Amino acid sequence: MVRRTIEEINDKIRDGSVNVVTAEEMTTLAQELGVKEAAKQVDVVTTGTFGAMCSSGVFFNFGHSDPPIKMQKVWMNDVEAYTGIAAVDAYLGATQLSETKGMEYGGSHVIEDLLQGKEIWLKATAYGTDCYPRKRIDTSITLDDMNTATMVNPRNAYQKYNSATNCSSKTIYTYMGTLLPNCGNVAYSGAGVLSPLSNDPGYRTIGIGTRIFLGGAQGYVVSEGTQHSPSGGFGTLMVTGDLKKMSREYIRAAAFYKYGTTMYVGLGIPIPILDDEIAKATAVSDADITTTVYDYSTPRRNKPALRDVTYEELKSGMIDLNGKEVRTSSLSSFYKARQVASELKAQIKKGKFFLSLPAQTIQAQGSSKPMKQTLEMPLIKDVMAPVATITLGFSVHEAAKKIIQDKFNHLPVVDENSRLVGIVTSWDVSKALALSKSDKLAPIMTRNVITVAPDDPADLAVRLLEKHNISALPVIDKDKKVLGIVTGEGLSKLISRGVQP
Amino acid sequence: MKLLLRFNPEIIKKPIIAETVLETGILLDIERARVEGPKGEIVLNVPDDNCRQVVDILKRKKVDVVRLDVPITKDEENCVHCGACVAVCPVGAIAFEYDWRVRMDEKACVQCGNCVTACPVKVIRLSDN
Ligand code: SF4
Ligand code: SF4
Repeated sequence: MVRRTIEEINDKIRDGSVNVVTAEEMTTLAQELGVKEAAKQVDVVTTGTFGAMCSSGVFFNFGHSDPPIKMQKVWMNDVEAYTGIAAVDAYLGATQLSETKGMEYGGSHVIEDLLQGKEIWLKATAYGTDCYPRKRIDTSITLDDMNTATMVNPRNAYQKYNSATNCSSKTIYTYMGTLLPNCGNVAYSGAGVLSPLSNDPGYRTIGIGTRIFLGGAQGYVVSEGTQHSPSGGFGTLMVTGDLKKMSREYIRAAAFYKYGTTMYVGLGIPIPILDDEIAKATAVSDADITTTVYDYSTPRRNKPALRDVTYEELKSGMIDLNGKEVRTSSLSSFYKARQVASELKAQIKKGKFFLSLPAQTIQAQGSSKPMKQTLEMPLIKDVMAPVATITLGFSVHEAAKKIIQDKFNHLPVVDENSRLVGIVTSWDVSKALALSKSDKLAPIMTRNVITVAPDDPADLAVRLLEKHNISALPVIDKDKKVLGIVTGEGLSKLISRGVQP
Repeated sequence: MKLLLRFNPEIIKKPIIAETVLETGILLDIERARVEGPKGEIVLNVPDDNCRQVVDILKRKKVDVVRLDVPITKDEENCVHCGACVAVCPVGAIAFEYDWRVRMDEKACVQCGNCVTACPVKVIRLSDN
C-alpha cells in the first residue's frame, strides 16, 4: 500500500526525481504491471482536455479614463460585455455575439484577438454622475493596456458529455456541430481516458484551490462548476487563470454554424498519486467511460436516448445504431488534449509546476435540477385547430371545392389509410387551376411536410414556422394520422390574446 | 481531373452534359450538382487524358469551366484537430491519423461543403479558381 503526501511529491519535483506520466500512459502501465505496482512507481498523473467550453469568459479592468466614466454598457469590438459591477470592470462571455458581425464573431474571438496582441475597439456608454461625469468613451486597447484580465470560466472540464445524432430527415446545426439527417453521423465530446474528472471521480485531489493548467498558464479551481452533476458522471469545475499569461495554442475562438460562438479551452489537472485508490482511479480506460447517444432532433430537455456507448467505441470511428453502422467523430480535440497532458507533465518534470492540496473539497455526489416553470407551457394540442384533409386520389378541382367550402388555406393530403403524405395550399391549388396544369393532386403537393406532434410545446411550432418560412404545420400522431393544424395566424391570435391555456 | 462548371441562366436548361458525353464518347462522372436560383454548378471528374477535349467542348457551349487542381484546402497551422469535420464528410475524405491529427485527402473530395460549415475554427476552404 503506497502512501504519499503532496509535500513529498513537491520535494521530488524540486529535486527533479519526480515520476510523472500522462493518464493514457498510466492506463497502459496499470494494465501491464497492475495498479499496485503502478502506484509505487508513479507520483503524478497528468490529465488534459481541449474542447468547446461555452461557459467561459474574462473579467477585464480597463483602468480609469479622464474624466472618469462609470461604464453602464460596454462593447469590445462590438461584442457586448457585462458591466453591472464597478466602474471600469466588465465580464466578456465567450458566446456573446457581435452586434455587427453576428454568429461569425463573438466574445471568444475578442479574447483570441487580445491573445494575439491585436488592438480591439472599446466603446462604453454611461448615464453620468457627479463623480463619473463622462457619458461615452471610444478607444482602442490591447491586452497589455488592461490592468487585469482574469479568466473565470463558470463551467469547464465536463467529466464526460452526451453524444449526439439526428434521427430527423433534415440536417440540424447544434452546439454538437453539424448533425446529418437520418442518423448520418454521431458527434461526441470529451477527452475520455484523459478527462481530468474521469481520473478523479471521487474528487479526492481536485477541489477548491487545486492548481491546474489553464490555457497554457497556471490557474486554479474556484469551486464546482455551474450545473455540477457528479452522480451521473457530469461533474464540472469553475476555474480561473490570468489571461495575460495564456497562449493561443490552448485558447481558441470557435463558431458553430447556425449555433453561435464558443471557446476551445485547453485544461489539464495533475493528479497526485497519494495512495492505491487514487492510482486505481487514474488507471481508467476509454472502455470504462460510458455515455449515451441522444437524438438531438427533439428540441426538448429530455431527448430520446438511443443507446449507451463507451468512449472506446466512439473513438473507433464507427458505432452501430439500430442495426446501421454510423460514423462517429469528436468535437473536442484528442490531439490537443494529449498536448495539454504532455505539456503539464513536462512542466512538472522541469520543476515549474507544483501540486497543491485543495483548500476545501467539492461534492462528489448530487445532481442538477431542471428549471422550475411556474407558467404552464402551452402545448400544440392546446393551440391546434381542426382541419379537413383530402385523399390523394382526388382531383385539384375537388381540392379547390373543399378549400372554399371549409375555408381552410391548407389541405393536408392523406393516403387511403388516412396517413399524411403531403400538403397543398390554396395558392398551389389556384395556381394549378389558373395554369390548367394536370388535374392530379400528386404533382402539385409538397411531399416533405414539416409536422409537429400534439405534445410538442407551442414554442416549437413558432420556431419551425419561422425557420422554414411556412405558414402552417399539420399535427400528426405516431401513425401519421392528421389530428389538426397549427397556423401562424392561430399562434399570433393566441399570443395577442395573452391566453395561457 | 476535377472540373467545376458554372452554368449561366441562358444555358442552364440545355442538356449540355448529355451532349458532351454523346459527342466525345467520354464518360463524365458528376460528383456534385447544385442549382441555386437561375444559376447552376456541377463538379465533374474527367479522365486526365481527355480533359483538354472536354474543356474545349464545354467552353464552346458557353460553360464557365474551372480546373480544380486542389478542390479543397485546410490550413494545417490553425487546425485544432478537433474532428468536427470528420464524420460529416460523405465520401470519407477526412480521417483521424494514428496520433489523432485530422488529415484530409484532397483528391477524394467532391466539394459538398459539409466540412467547411462544420469547422468551428474556419480553416477549411473550397477552392473555386
Ligand atoms: S467538401 Fe469536405 S465534407 Fe465535402 S467531400 Fe470535400 S472534404 Fe468531404
Ligand atoms: S473541423 Fe476544422 S479544426 Fe476541426 S479538425 Fe476539421 S479542419 Fe481541423
